[in-house]
Amino acid sequence: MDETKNIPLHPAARELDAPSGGLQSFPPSEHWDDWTEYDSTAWPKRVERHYSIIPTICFNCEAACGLLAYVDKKTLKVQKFEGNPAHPGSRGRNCAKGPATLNQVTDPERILYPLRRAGQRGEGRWERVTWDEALNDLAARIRAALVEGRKNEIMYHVGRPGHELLYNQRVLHSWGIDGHNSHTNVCSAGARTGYAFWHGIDRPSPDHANARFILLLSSHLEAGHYFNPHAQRIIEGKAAGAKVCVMDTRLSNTASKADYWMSPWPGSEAAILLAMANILIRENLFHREFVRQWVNWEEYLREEHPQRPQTFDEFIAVLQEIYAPYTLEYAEKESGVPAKMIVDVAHEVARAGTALSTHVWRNAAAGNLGGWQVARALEFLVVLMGAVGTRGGTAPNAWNKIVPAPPNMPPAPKAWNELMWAREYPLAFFEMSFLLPHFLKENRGKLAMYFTRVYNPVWTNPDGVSWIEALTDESRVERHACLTPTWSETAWYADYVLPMGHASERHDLMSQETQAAKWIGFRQPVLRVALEKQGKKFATTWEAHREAGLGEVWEEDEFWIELSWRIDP
Amino acid sequence: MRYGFVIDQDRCIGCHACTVACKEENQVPVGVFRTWVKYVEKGVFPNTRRHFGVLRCNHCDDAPCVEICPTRALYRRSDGIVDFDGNRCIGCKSCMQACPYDALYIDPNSNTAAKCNYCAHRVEVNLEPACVIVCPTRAIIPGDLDNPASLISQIVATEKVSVRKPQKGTEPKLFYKGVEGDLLQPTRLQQQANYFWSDRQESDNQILAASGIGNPANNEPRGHDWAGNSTREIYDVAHGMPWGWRISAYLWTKSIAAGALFVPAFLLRWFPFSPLMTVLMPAIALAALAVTMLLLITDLKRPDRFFYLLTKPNFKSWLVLGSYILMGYGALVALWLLEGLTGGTVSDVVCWLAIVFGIGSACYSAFLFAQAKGRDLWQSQMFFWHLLVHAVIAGDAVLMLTAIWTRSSRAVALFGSAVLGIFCIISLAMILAEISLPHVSEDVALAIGSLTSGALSGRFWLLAIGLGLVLPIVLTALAWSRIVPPGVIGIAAAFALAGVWWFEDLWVKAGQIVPLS
Repeated sequence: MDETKNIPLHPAARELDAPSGGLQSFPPSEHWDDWTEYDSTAWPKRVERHYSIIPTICFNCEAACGLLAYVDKKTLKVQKFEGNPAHPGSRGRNCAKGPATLNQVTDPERILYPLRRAGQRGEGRWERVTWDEALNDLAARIRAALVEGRKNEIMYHVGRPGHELLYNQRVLHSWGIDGHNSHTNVCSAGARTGYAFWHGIDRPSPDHANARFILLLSSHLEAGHYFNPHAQRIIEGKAAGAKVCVMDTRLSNTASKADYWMSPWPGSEAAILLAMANILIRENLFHREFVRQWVNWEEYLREEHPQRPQTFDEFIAVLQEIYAPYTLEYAEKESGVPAKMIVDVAHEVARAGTALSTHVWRNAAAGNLGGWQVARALEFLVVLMGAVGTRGGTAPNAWNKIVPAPPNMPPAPKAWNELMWAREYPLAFFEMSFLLPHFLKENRGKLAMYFTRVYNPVWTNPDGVSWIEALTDESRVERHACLTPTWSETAWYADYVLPMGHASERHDLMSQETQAAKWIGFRQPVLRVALEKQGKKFATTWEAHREAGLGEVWEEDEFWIELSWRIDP
Repeated sequence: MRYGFVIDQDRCIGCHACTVACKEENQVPVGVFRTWVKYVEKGVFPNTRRHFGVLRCNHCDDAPCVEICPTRALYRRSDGIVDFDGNRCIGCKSCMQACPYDALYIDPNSNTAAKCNYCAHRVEVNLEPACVIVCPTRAIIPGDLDNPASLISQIVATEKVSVRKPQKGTEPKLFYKGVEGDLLQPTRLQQQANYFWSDRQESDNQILAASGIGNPANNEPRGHDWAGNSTREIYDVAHGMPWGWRISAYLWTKSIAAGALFVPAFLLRWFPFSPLMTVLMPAIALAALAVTMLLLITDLKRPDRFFYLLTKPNFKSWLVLGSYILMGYGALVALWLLEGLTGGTVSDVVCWLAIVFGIGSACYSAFLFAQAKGRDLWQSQMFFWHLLVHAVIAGDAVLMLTAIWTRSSRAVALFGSAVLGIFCIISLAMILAEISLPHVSEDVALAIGSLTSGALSGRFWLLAIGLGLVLPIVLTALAWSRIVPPGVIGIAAAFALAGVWWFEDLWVKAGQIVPLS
């Protein structure tokens, strides 16, 4: 056998051992265009199946792990999804949600054609329409709003974005509107705030694989964004000798794998973290040089303590005073976590030095009032240890994420949409999206055109009934188009339900800070690619899907481009 | 070449990716699993942890499923993989009883047995199994155990690894590293009323209710310590009882079929030929045998393939050997009937052969049940003798009832009642010995416990022992002492016959209530 076949495809994957036992993990890439495997259900009869193996990217969380779609050349159906060994983040491996993509693709209840409401909103009567009809109607309404200067009546509200935010901004900015609304304020805004106030970058990128100590306020061995790529590297770090502390009120799988499991009273996490900071400062276990060089202590002393000597030593003295009240007794009383464990973990943090990897995304930062302080306190430990952007440390995510800017970005629009950015919340970090139905009910505005994209507030937001009330009021929400691969409670209250592709049915550029490296990945509609490999040509992905027997499922990128053309014919 | 797995539970994060990838690769239907992740928890907050175990076929070098499979649908490949061929499977479910690891299931679409086959169809094209490549933490390590240089061999040689139920002698090729010990010993686990995320399946609850291992109704453990020292099973997949009333009924009708002829065959030493012996009894035996066959066939998940027993036989399987014995016996019964109808007598050769084959028909099930290696209770060496005694009781009871009903021979009926009484006493003594002698394993103790003090105890003591054995003994004794009219022996016979059913049914149930995984 050719020895080169056992060498992983991508340099990033070569850090792994060669496949054991002589078997290969994946078909050699030179055979991806024509790969023969035996039908598992016919086995032990040797029934050959011929596949075109087409890489794409998973869409079941934000991690964007690599997938290989096995497209049966005869039936043009996806037989299965496996990992893509060339993907540097996921390195050929996936969580359960990767292979489960097949369930979404073959879901008998998925939406295959554009649908238009046939009765009252929410009545549940639908009729099939063509993409042309849908696009023309939506474009006409948007055009009318733009021409009449009703810029703030167009809104795009997204749950799971596919393509990079930048691409969508490009579309909305070219329309000249402030129309991007997100779900972030019922999700990660808390953690983002805590991080942003440290370094202006609102997301962490831990290097778990090389850490000496891993401090998790998350359950990334079983859930959450970047679960699979993080889990791989947490276990690698653990196997290489790193110790793990998990702060989780629940006995999660992650907590079960931890050397230290802290189960604090919900919302008391920051007390523990500050008590640890107090230990590090008091016992002089922190990285003085890093703090001296990178923290704006001079500015701080000048503003807050102009009477005191303007020296770094004085700053440390001030720090000691500030954090002195965060005693072990206080933290134990607040959190219920034994003082001894807090000390032990603080000393582990100190031992880790610059190889301290930490992470919080939602968890305590999302579930509690003032949760953003949890992320802020966690990052404080990283800063104290000088573990920012180090090997085994915790980098700001921009270190490891590429945002490829498209050419000819339109200028930011001269618009301010108070349905998202209301004046009374000047410190809002991300749109006050959960208040939208209330703003509409208060007559702060109306929506001539409202898009929801894989966003299901009727179900997931705390007050679904308010959303039902707003969405059924046609004087407040004049048109609602729901972009979604599948039915949802929110789609039920739409005027148009427009079928958008799952992971293997769309184009998107992806780059995420899944580990201490940069990568960019490309999601592609695999059936279209398979057909094009057979020499067919398509103007749009939905036409390729029609040819492949997947209804008229489309994708956002082409949808927005086509819609933009029709708004401005 | 011997393919095996190491599952490194130190690396496993319990994410179920292997479960799902396997389902996708092998198109495994909802509700059944080729591989799954079991969760257990121990301790009391804050000193508590959850542990995972990836469970699946162990690809045993000495695989009991291969031995018991009547049609060679299961087989061990030269590379050590235990594979299966659904096209040969008749759905007898005996493999599910033979496997001590709950590895097999019946595919609800094809109605044939299936299990992990190491993705043999992938190995054929030099690819690792689907579960291996998906695993985020590389916790599943495949490879050749015969190659000392392979990673798997190195781990097995140098690390602390364990296997499930080594005492079963199956030579499993799935090695666990860093596994929580209790997780691999299902009878040590405290059962919960509900799982972590889900209700338990009905079939599962029935087993639990019957087993007395944990009472799912009120979540109160029985016989285990709830002070946090016991390990709690919080997620598993359901495994029902593969064999139900048809198998119990088959044992019963087979006892009748066998006893209905070999009891008269013995009696013919002392009684003259009569239509009762030469025509009626063989006719009854033939009918009972036909019902037995019918039960066996209808219990198959693929009854349309019953003839595979003849066309694709595995002569190591007692299911096959038993079928041949039953067919041979059927031929002898027919011959007996033919001789009886034509000449009114039965030749000595037929008589002796009927005794031999009758005993074979009655007792071969003991060897079949012993091949069900997963079920410790059925390994009992007494089972052979139980079956023999049951056949005598059943045959004798039927003979008595027929004699009384046809008013053909008062002497036969009276003599039969003496035999009945004696064999009921023997049966009672054997059962009492079985339940009171020290048990060879925890599984046997649990199964016996379910009969004597668990969920089956009411039926066991009242029906199988009280009405099925003690009552016939007492009635026979009273009849012989002329305290009650002799006609009462008919009642004794009817209860003894029912007693055989009650016992067989409980024995079949009790054997299956002990969880295997």
